[in-house]
Amino acid sequence: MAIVIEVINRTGQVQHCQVFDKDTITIGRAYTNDVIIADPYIDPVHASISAIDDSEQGLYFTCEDLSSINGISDSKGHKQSAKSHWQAGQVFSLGKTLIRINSTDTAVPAAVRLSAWEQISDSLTRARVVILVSVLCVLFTAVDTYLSSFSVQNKTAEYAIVIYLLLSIVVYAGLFAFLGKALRQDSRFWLYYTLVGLSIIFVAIYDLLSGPIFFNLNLGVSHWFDSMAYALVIALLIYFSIQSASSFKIFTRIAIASIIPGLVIINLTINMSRNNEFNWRPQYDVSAYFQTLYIAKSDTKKEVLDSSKALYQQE
Amino acid sequence: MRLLLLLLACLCTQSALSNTQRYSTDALFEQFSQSIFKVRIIDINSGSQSTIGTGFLVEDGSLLATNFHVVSALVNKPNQYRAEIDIAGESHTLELTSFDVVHDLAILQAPNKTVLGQALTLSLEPLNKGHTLYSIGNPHDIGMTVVEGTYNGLVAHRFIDSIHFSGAINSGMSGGPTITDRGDVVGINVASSGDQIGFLVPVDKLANLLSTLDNETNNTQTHYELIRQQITDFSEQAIDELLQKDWPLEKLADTQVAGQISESLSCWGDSDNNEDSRLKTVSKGCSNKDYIYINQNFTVGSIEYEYKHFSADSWNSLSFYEHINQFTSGARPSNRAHKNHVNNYACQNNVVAATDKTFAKKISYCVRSYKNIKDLYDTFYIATSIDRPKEAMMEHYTLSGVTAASAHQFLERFMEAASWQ
Repeated sequence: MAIVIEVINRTGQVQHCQVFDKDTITIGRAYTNDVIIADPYIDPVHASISAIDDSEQGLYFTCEDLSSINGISDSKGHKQSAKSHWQAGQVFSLGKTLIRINSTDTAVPAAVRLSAWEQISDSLTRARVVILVSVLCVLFTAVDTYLSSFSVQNKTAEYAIVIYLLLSIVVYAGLFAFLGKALRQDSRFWLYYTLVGLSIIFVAIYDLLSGPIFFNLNLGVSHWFDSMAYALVIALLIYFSIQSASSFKIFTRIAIASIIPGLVIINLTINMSRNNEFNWRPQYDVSAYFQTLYIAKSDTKKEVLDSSKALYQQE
Repeated sequence: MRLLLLLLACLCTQSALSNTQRYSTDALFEQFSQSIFKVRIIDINSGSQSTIGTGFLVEDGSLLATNFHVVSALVNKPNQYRAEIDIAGESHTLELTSFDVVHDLAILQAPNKTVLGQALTLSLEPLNKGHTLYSIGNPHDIGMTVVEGTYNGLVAHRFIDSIHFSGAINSGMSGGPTITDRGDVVGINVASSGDQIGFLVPVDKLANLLSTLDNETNNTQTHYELIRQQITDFSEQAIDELLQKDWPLEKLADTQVAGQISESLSCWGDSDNNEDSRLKTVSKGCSNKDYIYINQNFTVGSIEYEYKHFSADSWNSLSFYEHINQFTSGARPSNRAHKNHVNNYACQNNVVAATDKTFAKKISYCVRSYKNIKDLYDTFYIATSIDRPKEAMMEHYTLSGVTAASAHQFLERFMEAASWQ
C-alpha cells in the first residue's frame, strides 16, 4: 500500500505530489520527515499519517496530531481532534498548506486534449510575432496621436501616450502571467503581451477607419458603435486571457469576459430608453470628411428638401 | 378695413383727450399714481404672490394694461394662478381679457367691467430723441417709483419695434407706463439691459391691442390658439421679409456668404490665425435681438445664421476634417425651451453633391415641434463643405417659432446661399 500526498493550492491545482511506499509517514518542516513542507506555521514534526486497509471499512487514513501548535483542520477550517480519519481524496490543512491524501489505487481522470488555441498561443509567443506586434502597436498609436494632435504645436506630451500604453501592456501581461502561474502553472507573459497588443492595434485601426465608414453609411450618431466595438475587443481579450491563465469552464470564461460588455449594453439600454426623454440640444451628426472618402450616393438638394418634410410631421 | 377705421378712431379720440398741462416730476407722480398699480400674480395653493409687475388703467378705467410676461402664468397654468391689484387696501381679482404675446402686452379686466379709477391717456404723437420721459413702476417690490429718463428712438436690429429708454427700468416695473411730462403714455416698460438701457413697448402696439378687444375671432380663440396666430403672423412676416430680399453676398476668405439680409438683423465677424496650430478661421454671423416670451422657460422668435471658414494648409485632410467635426459637434439652438413646451428634435443627415451654386456638403437638419402651440417649429441647420481637402466652410442657422412653410422656404434659400468664390 502506498500513500500519495499532494500539496495543492486554493483552487485545487496540485503544486507537489509525492508517493510513499509505506503505511505510515510523518509531515513537518524537519528534514527527518517523509514529507517536508517549508511552511513556518507547520511544526518540525507536525503530524503522522497512516493508511489502514480495513476489511469492513475499506481503505482509509488516520492523521495523528503530534502536539503541533496550530493543529490540523479540514478544508473548511474546522479543527480536528488529535487523531482524525480521512478518506482518499479528502483535503486537510496544516499551517497554511493544503494537503490532499490519496492512495496509488485512486484512479486519475483522463488527460485533457490540447485545444487549437494552444497552438495559436504558442505562435503568438514567438519572438518575431512579439516584436511585430510591438512595432505595429507603437506605429498605429503614434499615427493615431499624430492625426489627432494637429492643433497642438508641441506634441511631446501627446506622444508620451505611447510610453503609457507600453507600460499598460506590460502590467496587463504581468498580471495574467501571475494568475496563470497561480492557477495553472502556466505563466506565458508574452502571450498576454501579444494579446493586449493586438487589441490596441485593432482599436487604433477602428479609430482610423470608423469615421470615414460611418460618414459613408450615414448612420448618424456613432458613439454607440464605438462603445460596442471597444467593449467587444475588451471582452475577447479577457476571454482568451482567462482561457490561457486558468482552467475555468467555458461558461465561467464567458461570464467573466461579459462583465464589461454587459455594463456597456446596460448603459446603452438606459441611454436608448432615455432617448424619448427631452433633450434640449439636437442629436445631429455633421461629421464629414473630404469627398474622395465618400463613395456612397450623394443626395440632391430636392431630395434633401423632400425628405425634410417628414420632420414636420413628428408629434 | 374695419380694424383700420377703428384704430384711427381710437387714435383721434386719444389725441383729442391728450393733456395740455405740463407737470413737474412730483406733481406728475401725484396726479397719475392713482391710475397705476402693482400687479400681483397669486399662487392659489399658497395664497402668496409668485410674480409682481405693474399695470395702469386704460380706456374707460375698467381695463388694466401690463406686460404679457407679468401675467403669462394665467395662460400657462390658469388653474394655479390669479391676478390681483390692491386699491385703497382692497384686493381686486382681474381676469385676462386679451394679450399680444409678440409685443409682450396683456389686458386685464375687473369682473363686470367695474371701473377701477381714472385711465391714463395714450399719446401717439412722435417724439424726438432726447425727450424727457418718466417711467413709473414698482421696482423689486419696494414701492411705486418714478424714474426720469430720455427717449432714444426705436431699438435697431429688431423685427419687433421697441423704444430705447435711457433710464433705470428694473424688475417689477414691467407693465408700468412711461409717460411724458403731460402724463400721456408713450410706452410700456418691458425690459432692461442694465446701465440705464431700458426698453419700452411703443404705445401704438397697446392701442392696436385695445382696438381688437371686441374682435369676435379673438374672443373665441383659446389662449394657445391666439399665441399661435400671433407668433405665426410675426414669423411669416419676418421670414417673408428675409426671403423677398436679394441676399447681399459678402466675401469670407475665398467664399461668398450671405451678408446682412435685413436691417432687423445685427451682424458680427471674427477671425483667428493661430500660429501654434497653423489653423486659420474666419467667421461671420447675423442674428435678431427679438425674443417672444411665452414663459420663463420658453422663448421664441430668434433668427440667426453664421458662417465659419477653416483652412490649414500644413495639415493632412483626415486630421483637418476630424478637427472640423469636433468643432461642429457642439452647436445648440438659440432659444430657451423646456420639455413641457417642445418635443425632441428630429434630425436628418445628408451628403449633398456640389451644384453650380454651392459646394458639396454634409448637412444635418433638425426640427422640433411645439406641444401646446400647434404648427410652429424650431429648426436647426448645420452643414460642412467637403469638396476641398484642407479648407472647409461651416454654415449654420436656427429659426424658432416658424411655420413649416416658412422653414421650408428658408432652408431652400439658405442651402444655396454660400459658395466658393
